[in-house]
Amino acid sequence: MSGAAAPLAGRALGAVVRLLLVAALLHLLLRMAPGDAIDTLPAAEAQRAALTAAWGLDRSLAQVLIDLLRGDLGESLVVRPGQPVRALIRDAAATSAPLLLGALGLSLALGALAAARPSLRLLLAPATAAPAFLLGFALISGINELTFALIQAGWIGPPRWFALPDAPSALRGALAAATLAIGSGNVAATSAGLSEAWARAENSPWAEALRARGQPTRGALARALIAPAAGLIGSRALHLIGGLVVIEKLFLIHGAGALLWRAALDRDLPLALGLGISAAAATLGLGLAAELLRLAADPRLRGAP
Amino acid sequence: MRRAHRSLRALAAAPLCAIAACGLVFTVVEVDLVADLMPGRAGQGPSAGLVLGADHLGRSVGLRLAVAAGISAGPALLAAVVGLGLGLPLGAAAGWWADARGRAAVALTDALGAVPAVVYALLFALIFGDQPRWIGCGVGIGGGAALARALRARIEELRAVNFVEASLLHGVPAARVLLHHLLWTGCRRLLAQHAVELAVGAVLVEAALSYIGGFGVQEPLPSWGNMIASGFGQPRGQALAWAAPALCLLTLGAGGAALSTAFGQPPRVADD
Repeated sequence: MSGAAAPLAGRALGAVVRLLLVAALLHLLLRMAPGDAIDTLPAAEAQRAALTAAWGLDRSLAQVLIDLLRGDLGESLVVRPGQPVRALIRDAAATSAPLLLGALGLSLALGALAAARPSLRLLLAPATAAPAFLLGFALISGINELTFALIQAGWIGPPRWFALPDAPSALRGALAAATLAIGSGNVAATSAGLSEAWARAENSPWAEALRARGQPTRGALARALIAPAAGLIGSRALHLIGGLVVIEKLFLIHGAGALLWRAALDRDLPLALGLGISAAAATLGLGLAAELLRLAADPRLRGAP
Repeated sequence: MRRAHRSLRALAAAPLCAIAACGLVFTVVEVDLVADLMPGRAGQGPSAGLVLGADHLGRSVGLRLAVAAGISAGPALLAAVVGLGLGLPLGAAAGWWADARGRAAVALTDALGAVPAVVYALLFALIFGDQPRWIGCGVGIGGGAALARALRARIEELRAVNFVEASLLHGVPAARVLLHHLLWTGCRRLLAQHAVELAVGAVLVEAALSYIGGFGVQEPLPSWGNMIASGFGQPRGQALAWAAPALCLLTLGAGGAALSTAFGQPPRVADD
């Protein structure tokens, strides 16, 4: 593992630099917004200067970046006035993380299954072609309609989770993760990536050598898939994190995606900026974790830039 | 065989072409959506005058589908333009220069590409106001970074080919080698692939945000997303009001994926 430490440290440093760059870009972008949170308050014009200073709306870019490095993202101005953005994001992220990681794992598992069994790929094709919100809508409506019909027929009593998505339940979380994993082409992309990696490994000289010696190849081929699968985690993480906004709103889950939607709707600039930076941090962090897995799985990559 | 492939590609492109056509038509023809509101025909099924019937408020489902497609054309076009405008120079710089300029382009690409397109769309809506065109811009920035990454990889691969080095040694200007030999000859299918993905992505994000409400296209203006939201839950006889836009979105998603795959495959000698 020591061989992987140096390239990984370089990549970690690169990720921090990129995160600061994202923060700078988003901060400059949000500065272009006409008006600010003070405009949403009645008769606050007289205290504009005092409120601007108190809420930190006049912070320079350098100050924002220094505060970010110290872990200070400011305070929410509209959604939860006065509460630290960091605490709000931490609570929301705790709700979103299981959903995101579940969807990531499920998309890899289903992608691997679909890559191994073309019949499953065909079966999943309509679902993977559908945008995630449409798939979620179809699942919620289909399950509710079916359950309602069964209740009316007297076959079952109303389940505790009925009707979706109003009541919090494990079923709701599982459906949300499945929708996020399958919808918007996620499984299709994972399956295509793994199929390609499998074909490349199967036709490689080392696989041919193993076959020529009469040795089993399946285990070695499966190990060879770890690095490409880790690469897919890195590339799909961005799509899944973006999908959280729609899926959390659809399934009424109070996570980071739903919080961003609320912050944008209420024009809560510090909260929106903090969530944008957190989304980038999550993407870069997952990318880094995937990179670590790739370097551990394939020592040849350790010398690559 | 070649004709079959072309027919399939044309079929996959049909939903996007339909959106573009509706966009063109509705920039010229003004539709009075208030006049289309006729409570007397609420829930009416398909007929000669109303091909897809009317929704629960008596509005023509067919007309609203077409107007929604026209409204989606703007964000779709904008996403493709912004994505290509951003991704092309960034990807070309990152792939062509191996020095600090290239590394700076890579860092900027990675930074822009670390934020999901939906997050950009929401931030743009927050900053500039809730209009569908800002969704297109947001998707364009997110997708532009993905294009830049793919373009960089392709250009790096092509630069290793002998003819590029030979052209440079024979005095062909670097700009011509980059623009003509690498970008046009070597990457135009990749550019088309990403343009399709950006356009389809913008329509799907706009529909998703319009479905959940608060952003995107708001009632009384139609969007495939808000048509599903408002049509569902109405009496069973009016299923077309939400099923028709859902089918349009499914067709667009499948067509976009097929077209993107077709552009992503290496060209066959007789077909490009």
